[in-house]
Amino acid sequence: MNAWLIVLLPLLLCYAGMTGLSLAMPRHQRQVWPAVALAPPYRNGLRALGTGLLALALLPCIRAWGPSVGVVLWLGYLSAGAGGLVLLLSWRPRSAALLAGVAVAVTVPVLLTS
Amino acid sequence: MNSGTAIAREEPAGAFRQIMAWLHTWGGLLAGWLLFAIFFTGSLGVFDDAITRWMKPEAPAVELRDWDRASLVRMGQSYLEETVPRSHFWSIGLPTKDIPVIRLFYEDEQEQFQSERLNPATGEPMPNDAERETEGGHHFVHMHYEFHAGTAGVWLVGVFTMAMLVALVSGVIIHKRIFKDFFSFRPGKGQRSWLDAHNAVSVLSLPFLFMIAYTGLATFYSLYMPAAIEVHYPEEGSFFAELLDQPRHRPETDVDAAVVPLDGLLLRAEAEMGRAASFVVVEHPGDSSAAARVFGVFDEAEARGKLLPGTSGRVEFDAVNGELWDVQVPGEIRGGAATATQAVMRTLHFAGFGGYTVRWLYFLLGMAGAAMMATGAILVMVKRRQKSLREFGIHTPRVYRLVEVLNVGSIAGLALSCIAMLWLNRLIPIGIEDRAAWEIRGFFLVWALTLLHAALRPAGRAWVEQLLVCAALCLTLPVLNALTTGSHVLVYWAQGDGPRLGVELTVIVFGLLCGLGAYGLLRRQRQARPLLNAARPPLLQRGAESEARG
Repeated sequence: MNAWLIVLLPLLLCYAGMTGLSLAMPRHQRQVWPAVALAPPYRNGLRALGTGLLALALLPCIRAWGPSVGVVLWLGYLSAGAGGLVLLLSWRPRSAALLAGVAVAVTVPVLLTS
Repeated sequence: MNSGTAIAREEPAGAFRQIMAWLHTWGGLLAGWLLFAIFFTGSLGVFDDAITRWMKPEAPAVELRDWDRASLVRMGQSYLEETVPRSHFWSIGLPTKDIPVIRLFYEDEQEQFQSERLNPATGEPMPNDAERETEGGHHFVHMHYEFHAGTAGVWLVGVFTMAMLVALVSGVIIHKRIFKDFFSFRPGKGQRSWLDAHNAVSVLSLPFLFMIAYTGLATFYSLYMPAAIEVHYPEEGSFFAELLDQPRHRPETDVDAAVVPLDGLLLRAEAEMGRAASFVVVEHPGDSSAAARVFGVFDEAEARGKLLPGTSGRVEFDAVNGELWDVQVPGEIRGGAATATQAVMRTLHFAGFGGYTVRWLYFLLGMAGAAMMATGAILVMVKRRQKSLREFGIHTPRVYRLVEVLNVGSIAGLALSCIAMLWLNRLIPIGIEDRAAWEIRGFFLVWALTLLHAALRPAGRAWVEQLLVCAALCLTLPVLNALTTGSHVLVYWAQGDGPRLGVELTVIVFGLLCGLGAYGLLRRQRQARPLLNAARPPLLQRGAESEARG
């Protein structure tokens, strides 16, 4: 796999996962879609999706760096993904959500086919 | 902890949290000034090799080729035998790709550390101006763990690291909405924004912060908790000899004896280890108790992906009769589970286990830690600038002023002196005596000047001015580099010189961030409080004035 892809895959997955978790919270959901109020089932869905993506990010980490270092890196990626999201969400909430969508669309197929 | 829970039970709800809040504010503030420096320089130290490369633009004029290592060791030995026939130690470093000379370290007759570089082609010492003598990126590593102050510095850093763990735990206790505010950052709202920023950087990097503080302490366990070792192993080095099943240190006998030719030991050691040697060390050469150690080359590719890589190879001899004492083959692990656990923690702390991905993550998360100290320290004053809490009675204004000055000098001032170090590297003439030390003295001098500047200027002005100088130094570094060495970002890009390019680009990005910070601060000051920009009355008068107002 391409070196850049190895580095970026977990980052994008963690970013998207954290976005899912944040959009499950009414405060941040209103930042992105001010006119909409998501019903609880949708919010639970977003939370599950976010958690799933975060868990999925562990896969490329372990594949590229082995189990011990992979888990350490995954923890670092969780922080990095959340940090990027917080910055983007406070200034460009719409773009933050859009980027998460793009990240899922790009990473999941790559992950499943490689 | 017991007294804490007792207080919580006896006093009304929230009292425990209040005590923790007090502890977090003042403990965090006092420790935060130096912890900012520890985190900032530690994050830079992650890239020490790249920074060293940038700080040594001229490779010494030495032919690069596959040297016959045995003859190089012979050259080193004959130089040392002539210079210091009796010493506490000699060390001979063989040329590497980055440092293509023979490096000698030794203690002279006055027990002072000395170093020398020999040309591998001739065995002659390299002239002073053969290259830019510098500590390089290692300066930041030294700042990070000992402030260039030896064991006392290591202790100081240890005390502050403990304080940081206390601040982390008390911070988690007083942060009532960790999960609700997990993703919250509301910019442009004054105190609220500073609190948000402080919470966000701390909570999001919390696993890293706990890990790095704890593993940092574990790295120096034998220094931080020496009592048991001192009592049970009074003989020098005997604790580690027993722990790692290594030959014991032989005390000096004061009987003269020559060291055997080291090239022979080198060849035997390389055969035993199955890999090339990087260093040969001799303990009290010239004495009949002399011992020699040969170390294998560190193989980064081999260590990658391993948290417990084991040794790079280590062979020990009697240096007087050449008897083989001990062989540790590469990858060997000694000392049992506790030593292995400590070794894993050290690996985790040193960031060398996963190439550039790990280094960048550590850099970013370390900077998040520095940002946590900075936002916390600033928050203390943002809160009190609106309305004095009068914690120190009539001395309150003076204490606040002191906090402001230390905030500016320890945050903006430290960042400024770090970039000034790179400037000094290009400005201090090559070839002067003690050049590497002058760079470091310059660093501390600039840091002292920033503190002085902060003490003389109103706080708002001091922040803006220091951030602006920092931004200017960062953004014009490529110009200075081009003027003094003829190289800069574009040249490095064309040469594909990743490390040097990375250093310069990172400096530019940091300069932009500082500029942005200064700009934002200036705009805010003009907008919100035009009075703040007016000349302020001197210290004492201002104290009396706010007393009268309060």
